[in-house]
Amino acid sequence: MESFLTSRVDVATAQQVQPYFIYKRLTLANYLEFFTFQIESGFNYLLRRFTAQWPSVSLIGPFYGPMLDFEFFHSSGWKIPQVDPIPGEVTTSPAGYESVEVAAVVGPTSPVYPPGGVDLSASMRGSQIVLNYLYPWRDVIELRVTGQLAGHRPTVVDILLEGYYIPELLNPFWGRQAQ
Amino acid sequence: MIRVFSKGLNASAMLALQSSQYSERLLMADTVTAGQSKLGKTTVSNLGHFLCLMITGSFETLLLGGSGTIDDGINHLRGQLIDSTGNRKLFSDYVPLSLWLSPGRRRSPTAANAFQPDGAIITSPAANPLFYPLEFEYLFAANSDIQLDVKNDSTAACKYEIVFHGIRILSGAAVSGLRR
Repeated sequence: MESFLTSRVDVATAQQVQPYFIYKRLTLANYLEFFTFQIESGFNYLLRRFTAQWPSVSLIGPFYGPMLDFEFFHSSGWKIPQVDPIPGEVTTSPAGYESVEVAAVVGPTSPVYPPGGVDLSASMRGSQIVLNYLYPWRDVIELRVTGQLAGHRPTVVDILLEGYYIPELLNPFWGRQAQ
Repeated sequence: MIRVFSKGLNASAMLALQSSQYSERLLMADTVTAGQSKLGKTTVSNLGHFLCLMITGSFETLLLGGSGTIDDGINHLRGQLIDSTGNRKLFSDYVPLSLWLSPGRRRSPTAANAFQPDGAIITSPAANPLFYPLEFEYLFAANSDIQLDVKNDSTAACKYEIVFHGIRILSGAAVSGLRR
């Protein structure tokens, strides 16, 4: 990172990007589950980091330490940036080691009731590994979650994508035609 | 990482720059009552724009047990970060604080009053000490508010503190930056 002591911040440049974190709690009902998110029109999305967290106890059990594999898929280019699905334990830290608590203390009609009725232990923050996947506007971020055997899968997985919306300035959406 | 002493320093130029841009931290701290949601905010004042570079934060994990307030290490807080300029949401949903804040959970002094039926004090396990500031580069405009809408699904009130680390760009510098 450049030192602010030796360079002036250009406000016009700093205004161009906007951080946008994408969070979803995925219920694991099947062997293969999909996390999808459609990028807005007029923005590219730069995915910087990926963090996942899931309970250490399986749905039926008790089976401890259920494992999940993750694979990003670039649907617009029809390509997969990984050779194989990567186990979550070595991708995000410290996934798969969370205590779980079913939040039955607050009614399901309450606005603060957690999705799925499950709270996870507050472990340390996730991965610092930078991915830098760039998704063009109107593309779909697709993450495939596999690896869980029947009965051994956790009930839910929390997925957080950290990244930035980058305006596509040559897009007619912003009133500046491509020149 | 910049090696500060690897080059000759132009003290007068640095001092001139620091008079218009300097490192600053904005604190947001609040307590969310049990089973409620609350909008916390910190004001970016009229000094100038605030270029946020990193976020750090901690929070409590309290629960009202049978014998008092206990700290069970379970996260009960979820938050939605909002830039008040245009009410722009920076998260897609309410994200559990444990997923994005570091150092994250901290032990709470109020939990030390809990006792087991046999009279022993319930002690919570130590928090995880790893410290990874969250990269978060965003320009908050002067006179705007940084807002965090937090939901607490615990049966006890939980407190959080978040610090936004960045650069204050005084108004004059902001204008010159726009003019290039």
